Amino acid sequence: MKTANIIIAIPAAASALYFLGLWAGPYWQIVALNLTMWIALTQSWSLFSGLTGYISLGHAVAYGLGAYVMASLFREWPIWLIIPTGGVVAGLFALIVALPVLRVRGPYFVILTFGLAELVKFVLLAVDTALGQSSRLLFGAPNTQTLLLWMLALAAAATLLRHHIGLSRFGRGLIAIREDETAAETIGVPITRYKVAAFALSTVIPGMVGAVMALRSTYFEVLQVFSPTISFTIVTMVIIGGSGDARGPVMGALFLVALAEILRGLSPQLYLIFLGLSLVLFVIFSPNGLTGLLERKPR
Amino acid sequence: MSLLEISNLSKNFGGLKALDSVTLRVQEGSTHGLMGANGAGKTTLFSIIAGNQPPSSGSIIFQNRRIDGMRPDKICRAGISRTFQIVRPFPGLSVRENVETAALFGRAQPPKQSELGRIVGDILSECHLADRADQPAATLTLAGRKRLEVARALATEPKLLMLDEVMAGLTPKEVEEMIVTLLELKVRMNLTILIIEHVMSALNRISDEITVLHHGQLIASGDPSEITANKLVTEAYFGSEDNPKESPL
Repeated sequence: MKTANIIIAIPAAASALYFLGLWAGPYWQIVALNLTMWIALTQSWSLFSGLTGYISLGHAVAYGLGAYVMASLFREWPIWLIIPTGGVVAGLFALIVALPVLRVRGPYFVILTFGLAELVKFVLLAVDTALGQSSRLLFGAPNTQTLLLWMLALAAAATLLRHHIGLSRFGRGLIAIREDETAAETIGVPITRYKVAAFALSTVIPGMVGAVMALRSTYFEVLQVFSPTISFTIVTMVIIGGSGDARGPVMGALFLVALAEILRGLSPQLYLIFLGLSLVLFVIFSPNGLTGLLERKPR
Repeated sequence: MSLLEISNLSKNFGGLKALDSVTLRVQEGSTHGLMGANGAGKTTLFSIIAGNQPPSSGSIIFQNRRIDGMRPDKICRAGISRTFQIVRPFPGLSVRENVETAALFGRAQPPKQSELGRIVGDILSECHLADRADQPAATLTLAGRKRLEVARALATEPKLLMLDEVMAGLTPKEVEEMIVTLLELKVRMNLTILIIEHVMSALNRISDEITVLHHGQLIASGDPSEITANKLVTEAYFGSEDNPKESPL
């Protein structure tokens, strides 16, 4: 899709979802909030992992840090300031850990990011317990409509960012790193700087998403917001949607959220079975996900 | 005038001396051949010049600027480009995208978007890859991938082009095509070439000067006729006539 089309399409889709949410009532507002949350997270993840091929299982940390910032500063700072602060804190943390973490590749990187995420989770849990604050309630949070509006903005921003970077010189460098890091470096790509920048950038929006979602659940618990399930779900969505461009994360998130909503009513036990089944089928028959299927047809 | 000055360069891998105090000057505008048996240290020398590996000791001066220990991407932008003996294309990208990426990153100044297409188009046609520009690099034949290595290196607009066995594994006809391509490119792009090659006839034909490495040491340097006549070189390759039992082969 051309950039001009996407610039029109995203706000259009976002406002359509918003008014649909207003019209359809609270249940669908929550579904829409969920959907946009996953789009924002998955697009951000894909900005780093999709382009560089370094699969991160640590993005739950960004989400968790954002939520933690919200829980700690709620009622002390204005909300409009806390949300970006969540993004900045997540980005700074990523910047600090990036250099040691990005020294390893392939499966080692996957395991390291996962281990680091668990480490952060349990350290913060210990800190909170020592402070006597094992969980916090957030009274007086904005209503779902407001949160949906913010989340739509984050999802649209993440999608635009992913799309724009994918086509930029920066993105071309990241793709070269994915294809062959040694060759990339030899033809002039500053690989370390690029990897660190993309890694940090990919955590900023998830940090803001975490901050907004803390307001949605109105209570904060470390084990919940740093849950590895968040990281796993992001990867699952990208496997199903594809990570080649900005369409993949949107389709992956749509697919999973729709599957969850449909099966919630019919038979909740079937959800995980269907999820596992679709993962297996996609990995075998369409490694590039739904976007890969779309591109196969015209040929 | 020498473009590249290598002085007392050594590289140790544990107890193994891959390069042992090598001193070498590459004249601007020349084609400098590098030969030697497997394990002589030729590719190691390339990797160190290009910054892929640090030297253990010694210095490398390129255009009056010390480059040993610099990052590979900076060395590339300074004007040195290499190919890989074991080819390393970006397999999932098209041939054109491979070359575009090199043009976008490897030059001292990134080209304008409007010029990129022309720059890449010229290089693709000169390397006889224009008709395969849109297919994935992974689908090229070996000869095609070797050409892509050269095309990608050229796209970075090098002053010094280092070619690591770009003719190995090619048929005689493909070797001939490659030689013609290289000679044309050298003139048009004002290149200095440092070339590793096992195809001796090809090396003799294009080199102004040849340096021979043996077990990490420089054993001979001179014009092609001198090298062919050099006793040390024939001994290193074929063993001494006096002691046939000590032949390294």
